[in-house]
Amino acid sequence: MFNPILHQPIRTQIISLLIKYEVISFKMIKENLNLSDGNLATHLKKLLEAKYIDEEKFFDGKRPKTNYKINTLGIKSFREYIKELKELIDESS
Amino acid sequence: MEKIEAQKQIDIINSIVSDKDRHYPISYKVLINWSILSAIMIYFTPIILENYGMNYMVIFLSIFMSVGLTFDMIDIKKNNIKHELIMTPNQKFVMRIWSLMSIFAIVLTALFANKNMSELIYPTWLFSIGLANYITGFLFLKGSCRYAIISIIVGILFFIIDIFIDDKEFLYHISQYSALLILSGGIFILGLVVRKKELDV
Repeated sequence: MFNPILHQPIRTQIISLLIKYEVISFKMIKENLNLSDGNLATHLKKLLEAKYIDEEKFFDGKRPKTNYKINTLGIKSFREYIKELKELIDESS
Repeated sequence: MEKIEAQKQIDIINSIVSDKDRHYPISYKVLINWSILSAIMIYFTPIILENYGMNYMVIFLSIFMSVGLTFDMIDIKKNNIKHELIMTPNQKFVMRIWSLMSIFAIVLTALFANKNMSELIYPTWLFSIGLANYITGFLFLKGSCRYAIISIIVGILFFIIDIFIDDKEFLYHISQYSALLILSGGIFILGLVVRKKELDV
């Protein structure tokens, strides 16, 4: 049984982007993955609730913005998830 | 079924993580700007040193380095606003490396000028700017790494050659032309490559 938070294509992509970019904005994730605001917010909420990512809110003029970055627990869980995926692939072949 | 799903997930991760060159901390304009500043510094440094002395040379280099670094900062901030980002740790790290390498290059330039070892000024620039480019490239842009290694190797080679060659003036001119070619021409070409990649994204 895979980690249900990470074993979901959109969340896998979000976490991969966070691994790649160290810090990423809501706008960048949205543009990279072609997601709607609502859909992306739902997936980010799940990752935040699992405490895999941290958010940082700031103001650009009067407009609030949010940046996200993966934390130690997120990196550890993602590594374990990849290991499990690879083990399954190796076992089957 | 599970195996196909697992393979799909692995493919998703690979496609995103392995594509390292998609977001630059700087735009091509910064590189073009540095290529122009480098050409000015390489050409005018010996003239200022000869006519006005070392203090003015240090002031001249400090002003031009500061102009370049300020332009970098403005560009990074503009780029970040566009992507709705705050300054990332890697961007801060790169700026610190560039500032330290600039100070290092200016101090060694003054030292070599003071000790009548002017033939080592440009090799120092090739080495220190190459090193700063290598670190930037390691974090953000693979093409920059390969270019930086050439710059570092050429810089080191001049230091080695200096041990064996007595004609220091010849070495000085060759190193000046090499610096002009690599630090100005090379950075200009790298700027054009980055511009092409920016347009492709």
